[in-house]
Amino acid sequence: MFRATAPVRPPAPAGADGPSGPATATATAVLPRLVRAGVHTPPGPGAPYEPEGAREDFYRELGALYGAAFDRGQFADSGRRTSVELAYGALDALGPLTAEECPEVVVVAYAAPDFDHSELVASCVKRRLPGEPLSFALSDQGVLAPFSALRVAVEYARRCGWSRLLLLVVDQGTQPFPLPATGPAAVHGDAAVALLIHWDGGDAAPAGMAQGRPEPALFADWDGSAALVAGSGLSEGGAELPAHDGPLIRVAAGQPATGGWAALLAAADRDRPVVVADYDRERDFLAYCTLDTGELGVR
Amino acid sequence: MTSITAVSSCLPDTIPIARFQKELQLTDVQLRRYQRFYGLAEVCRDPAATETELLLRAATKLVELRGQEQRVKYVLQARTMPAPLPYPMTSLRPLQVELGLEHAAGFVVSHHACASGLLALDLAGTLLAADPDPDALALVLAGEKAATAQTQSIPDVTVMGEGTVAFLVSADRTGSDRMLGYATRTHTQFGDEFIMGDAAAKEFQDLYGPGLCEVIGAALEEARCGLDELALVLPHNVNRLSWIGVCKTLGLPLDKVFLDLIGETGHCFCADPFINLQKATELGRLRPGDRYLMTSVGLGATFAAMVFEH
Repeated sequence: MFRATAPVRPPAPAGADGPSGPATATATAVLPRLVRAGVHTPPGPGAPYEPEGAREDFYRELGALYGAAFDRGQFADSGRRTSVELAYGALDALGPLTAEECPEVVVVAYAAPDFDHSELVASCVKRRLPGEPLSFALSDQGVLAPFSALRVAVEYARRCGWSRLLLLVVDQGTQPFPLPATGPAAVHGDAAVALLIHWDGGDAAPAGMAQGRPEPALFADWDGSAALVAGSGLSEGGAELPAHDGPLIRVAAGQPATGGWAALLAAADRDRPVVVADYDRERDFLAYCTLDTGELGVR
Repeated sequence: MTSITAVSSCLPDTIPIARFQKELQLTDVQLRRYQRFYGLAEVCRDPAATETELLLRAATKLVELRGQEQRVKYVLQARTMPAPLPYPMTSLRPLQVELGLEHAAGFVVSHHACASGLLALDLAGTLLAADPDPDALALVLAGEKAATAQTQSIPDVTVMGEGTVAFLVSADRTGSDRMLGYATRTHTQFGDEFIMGDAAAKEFQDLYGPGLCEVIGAALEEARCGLDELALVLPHNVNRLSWIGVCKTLGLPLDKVFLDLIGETGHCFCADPFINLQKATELGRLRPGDRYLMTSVGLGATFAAMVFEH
């Protein structure tokens, strides 16, 4: 069970004239540490499709209000692996977790929802884990959803005195309605990424994270010497990052939620942090976060 | 400290549930049971309106938002259904544009099903408590469409309504309704039975009373509040009968449970307790200093309770 009193803003530091609130990041500069990761990218189409009347009726009824028609051909040609299956694959790739390693909070992030409306990924994932983590999902923010999910997980850790977070990012390539072939919402296949992250900052503010309009002030906490993973939204233009002299990986379109976070594993570096950044053109919003990946064991 | 600073709701016109008898596959006996014992006479629905339109109606009634748009850093939509709109449609983007909130980070909070509303409030408070700006606000939206056969009802439990709600959240303790304690538990054996079969429905029914009482007790403990100190309970509006059983177990007088709207709204997904807050406040059922409890239960299955001071 998750149980808590209301979160309280920390008091202003002794002698400070300013308002209450978290200490500035520059004063404490704590990065989340990525300690383990697992990626699951099952290839190709799924099992032969056998139409289910109730499921297809549900899609037709749901789409009717929004002028969207059920696309049986696209659906049948897709992987039809549920988001729970994809998440389980990423958890398997992450490897077994002991009770001591179990995350205290699990946030599932996605852009494209599960086609199976009878399952809840966050509940099913919690079942696979030891312990009793707070588990929920965050979505409908395109490429930005995993950034918000990580921020929320860190803030719950700060509030509750936790240290172990699990970010589970899923790209669901099977959709009952016509999928855009190109652009930021296109999903080319199935993928899931599980990131086990440690937060050692106690109640200190996280460093190297921000989200908002791509204006100079947004990058106050930007580390130009870090390795950089530039998400697919950045490769389409519309926003420029500050000067950067670390190694750079650019992510191709087609995996809106997982793309940058899967590439993070390739960018892991013992000697410097890694910044993951992405941009949503429609929202004109940019997000970035900085992780310490020095002890990452990728499976 | 998390507080609700303003709340507004939109309740579409009511429709007698008898009109849905065929769609809900109710026999005459079942229909009478819904009406007489569950207290479900009518539900509020607008079949022609989209989710986005219903949410916008609630948000535009939130007069306290006007002039405060730049203070809103987060827009959270609490959602029951995992995928109620065809991807990549979303209600949030057009809502933020319409409300002048494009500068805010907006996302959906879900997978606690109908208990996601209380989670979204707690999450908003968590973000605001950490925000550098002490005046920052979050706008939370809830309520959904009952547009398909499977989302029109929970068989033998309730009929869904399409009421929506919008409320502002602050980390400032001077808000009108301060959150004191929260408890939630997800019972994961139901995670892949969001649409329950007969066996799961029976197991869920057996769990319902104990599961709800457990989180109510925990939330009261977190709030350091006794059950007898509660002035009111603002429930999820599934049906009247279930509250008779829960009240008996808890030792809570039934008249402390705000059941006034069940007969005209039905169960409005995540929005119920907040619709009830708006209505109870309007009716003068809460006085300054009163402590009250919100509850929600989501299929999948999550039980949640939250204690407030008005």
